[in-house]
Amino acid sequence: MEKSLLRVVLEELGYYDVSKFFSAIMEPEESMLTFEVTENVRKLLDKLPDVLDVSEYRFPPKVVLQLAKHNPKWLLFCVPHSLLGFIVEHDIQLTQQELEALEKGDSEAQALAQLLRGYEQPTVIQKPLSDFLFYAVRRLISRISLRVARLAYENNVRVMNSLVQSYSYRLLIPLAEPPITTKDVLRMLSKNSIKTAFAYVASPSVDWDVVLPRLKRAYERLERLSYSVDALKNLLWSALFRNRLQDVLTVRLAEMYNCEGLWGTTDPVTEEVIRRMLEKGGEK
Amino acid sequence: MKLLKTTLELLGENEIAAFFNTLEREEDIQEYLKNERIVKLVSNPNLPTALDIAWFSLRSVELVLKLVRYNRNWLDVSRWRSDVLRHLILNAEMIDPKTLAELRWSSHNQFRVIASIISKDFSRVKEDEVACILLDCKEDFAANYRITLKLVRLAREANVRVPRTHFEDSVFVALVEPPVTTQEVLEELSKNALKTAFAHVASSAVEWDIVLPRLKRAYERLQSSGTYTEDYKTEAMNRLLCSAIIRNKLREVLEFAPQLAERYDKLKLWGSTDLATEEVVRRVHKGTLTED
Repeated sequence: MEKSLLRVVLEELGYYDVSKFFSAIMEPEESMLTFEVTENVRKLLDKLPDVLDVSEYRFPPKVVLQLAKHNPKWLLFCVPHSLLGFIVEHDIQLTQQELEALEKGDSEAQALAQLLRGYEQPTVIQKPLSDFLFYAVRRLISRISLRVARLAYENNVRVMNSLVQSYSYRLLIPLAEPPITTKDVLRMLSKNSIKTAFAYVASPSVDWDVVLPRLKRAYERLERLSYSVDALKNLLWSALFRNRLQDVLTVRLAEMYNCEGLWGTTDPVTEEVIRRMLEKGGEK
Repeated sequence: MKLLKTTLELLGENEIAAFFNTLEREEDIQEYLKNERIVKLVSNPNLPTALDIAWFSLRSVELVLKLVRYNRNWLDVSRWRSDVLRHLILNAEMIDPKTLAELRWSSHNQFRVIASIISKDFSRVKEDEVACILLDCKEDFAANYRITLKLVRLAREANVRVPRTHFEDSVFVALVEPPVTTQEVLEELSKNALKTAFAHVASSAVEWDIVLPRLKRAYERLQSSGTYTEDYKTEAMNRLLCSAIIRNKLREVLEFAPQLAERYDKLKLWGSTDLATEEVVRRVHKGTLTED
């Protein structure tokens, strides 16, 4: 690591302020990101992003967001999908200048900027934004992936239906265009394709109240056949996306919610129900 | 290193940035060492450690030793420390006292011991440590007679003594305690243990003038008898050559064993003895080549 080298040289030369700056950005956990913006540090904040190679230096999202307050170009020194994860997790709104800085970065940074800006109307995205989105939701933890999918949906980002289906990727079902409909779900249920049906109900175009009784029966069938973890995960994810978890909640799903570390992804009332269900270990 | 250099340039420390650039390219840093701040930097024991952590390493032995003069920890960034050790032994007379003083405090015990031998100051090493390191060197440099001979010579000059057990079969026999005696060599010769006898005459406790006629006869037997394999002959000749060099009696041996001049050349021993003797070796070697 270059941090010890920077510390030794800079402190020997008397640049304690600069040394502290580097310690802060390279060891954010230890230093809590405190550094004084002296004249020397200001110089570095202004000019380093222009002379350093983005592909060689990467800092955690927390660091680049702090540095971006002084110079938005620092946002480029973070892995874009990690930055996206941090932004959605902490509900951060990037400024116009910060988005513009991202737009001047590589294709992934540009894709991130586009995802955050969104569209006026539902728009089917092309590469490289679709690649970035698929990659991000795969790499991020479930709790964050759900938020990314929600953000993408709210920002009118849509993905070609065929692309979502061919990847059989439940996380992006809500973004499918043309959307997956109630009819599609009912067809799947009648074919006993429960796993797919449970994933499809994430689509906002599916009439939840129409399919709910069928979903419950399918769930009972699944119980008799012994549980399929993937199918349950699909149902949990869809119910969370649709904000209808209480409608389908069982002890098994509550346990899955807990195991997957999904706390914070639904409303407090539903979470209280989940908590009680876990404590009692009985059916709702 | 790039972040450091860029930062230094942005801070206006262009000369120091250029120093690190030159260091990275392993070019001559002498000019930079006129700058007091750079000297202060290279003297900081934490700098080589930090560079080492940053995966930086130097291939140039000369550059490492130039830096070691300021701070022994620069050895840590040497990519091939065995090359530095070799250079140190072969150029012992040229190493300045400040470098040796730094090396005597090194955390690497091979360097600590070798620097102690060269400077004849054993205050920083334990008695057993010297024998252990010489044993390592004996194994590491087994195929390099020039370096082994030089090391034995340095150790002898520094009055180093090593236990006999592990060194009897090599040129290090010159350093063993208790020493090999004339009587032992004569017995070995009478038993026709030529390889052992030839090695053992390296011991300064062996009276050269007494054993010389016997060595001569033994050498003639070695050359004329059909009972010795080529490998045995070569090894015996190598041992006699090394012993003669250590005892400074090569010219006497060359008189009855001119083939050793060829071995001297083959083993790349040039520089292992005085200039006058080397001139004789050169002539004898030329003569044997002409005869061939």
